[in-house]
Amino acid sequence: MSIITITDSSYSNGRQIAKSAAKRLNYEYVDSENILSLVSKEFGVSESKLAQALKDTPSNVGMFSKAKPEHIIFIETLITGYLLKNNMVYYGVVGLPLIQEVSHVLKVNIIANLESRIKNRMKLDNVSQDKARKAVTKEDEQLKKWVEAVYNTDITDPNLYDLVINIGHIKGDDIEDALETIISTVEHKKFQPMTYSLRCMKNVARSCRVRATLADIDPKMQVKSDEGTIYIYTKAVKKKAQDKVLEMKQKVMRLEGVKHVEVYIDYDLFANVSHGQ
Amino acid sequence: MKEKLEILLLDDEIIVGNRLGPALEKAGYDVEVFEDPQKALNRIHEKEFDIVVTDIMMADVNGIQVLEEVRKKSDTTRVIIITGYATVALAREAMDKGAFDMIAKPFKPSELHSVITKAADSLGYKKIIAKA
Repeated sequence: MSIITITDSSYSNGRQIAKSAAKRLNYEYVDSENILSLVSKEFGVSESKLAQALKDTPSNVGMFSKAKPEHIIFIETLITGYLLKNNMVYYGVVGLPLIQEVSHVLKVNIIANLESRIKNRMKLDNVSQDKARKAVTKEDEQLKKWVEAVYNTDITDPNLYDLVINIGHIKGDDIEDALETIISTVEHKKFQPMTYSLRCMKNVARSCRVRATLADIDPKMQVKSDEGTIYIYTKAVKKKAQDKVLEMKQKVMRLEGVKHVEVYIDYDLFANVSHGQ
Repeated sequence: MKEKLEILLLDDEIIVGNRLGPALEKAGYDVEVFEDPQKALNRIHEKEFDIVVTDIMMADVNGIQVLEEVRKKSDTTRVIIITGYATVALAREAMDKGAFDMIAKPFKPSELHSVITKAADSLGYKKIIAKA
């Protein structure tokens, strides 16, 4: 009845471990890439743009690429919606910092030493050692930068995880050992869902859904949900604040399970000056 | 099998017991309400309850200690934690030490009733539970 999230450093076989864990536990498997077609269908954004949003660091998103910040929100919304179902293995980093407070989520990070990962890349992609080294290092840096920019979080910080497994040399046995460790840990009572943790997960999923609904108005807003009550923190110029609040409330009140909406405005001084206020 | 589920409800905030106690009695349970954790522990040593509902943050004795005492006395008593200070660490500690469930305050009596119903089911009381 639990959820397992798995992240890894590049070429550490995290995806393979995640898929094997799902198979062994008879859990559903999802990752941020295989969910893109569903996100595309629901939000009407092409899969290529969504995929781009997972690669570009957000400082570039919207400026130098076709990807936009709301694309990440859309992906988070579908993923957190999936995680409401339980019995899931999720491989990826999108949304991971959002579910830190959900106690029935076992958060796993797979690492391996650099030389093993380079060998793995050389074998899988048939490239030279030099090219493999550059590519592995670059991918690690890209992911670290992306997570830092989107979530202000260091993806390599062990405090984010319940389990950090160093699979060392990439051999079948190491993967099997990692799998055994993950499965025996998730079966522990600590990771069983309870009323409180299910409520936390529901609140996270609902906050994401609200952000997705209002992404066209303000993709940078903060949203907090507590049962059916939604707290929205946004910016606006004074002249337009009332209309913005009204529009947000009307849109959010249409969502399933929403009973009450509170909008808190931070009057954007810079925008006010430019509007002559 | 007893006709009524026997529940001990412990919370040092009087208002919680005043509100939940009558609601649970109305739902068909036999309820003993305590505000003093020590008195509740004494009662737990005297009698084996079906379900113990306990707050966490209380003076002198906390809810985790109550849970541990219940576990020493009985393997079957279901312990439900209610708390206004829920965290991942607390949730996992409570489950690890054998809690049946944990609910974050504030909650509605119907939410507690729903958890109690699940606990009662697990004890084989399915058919005799009244609706709140």
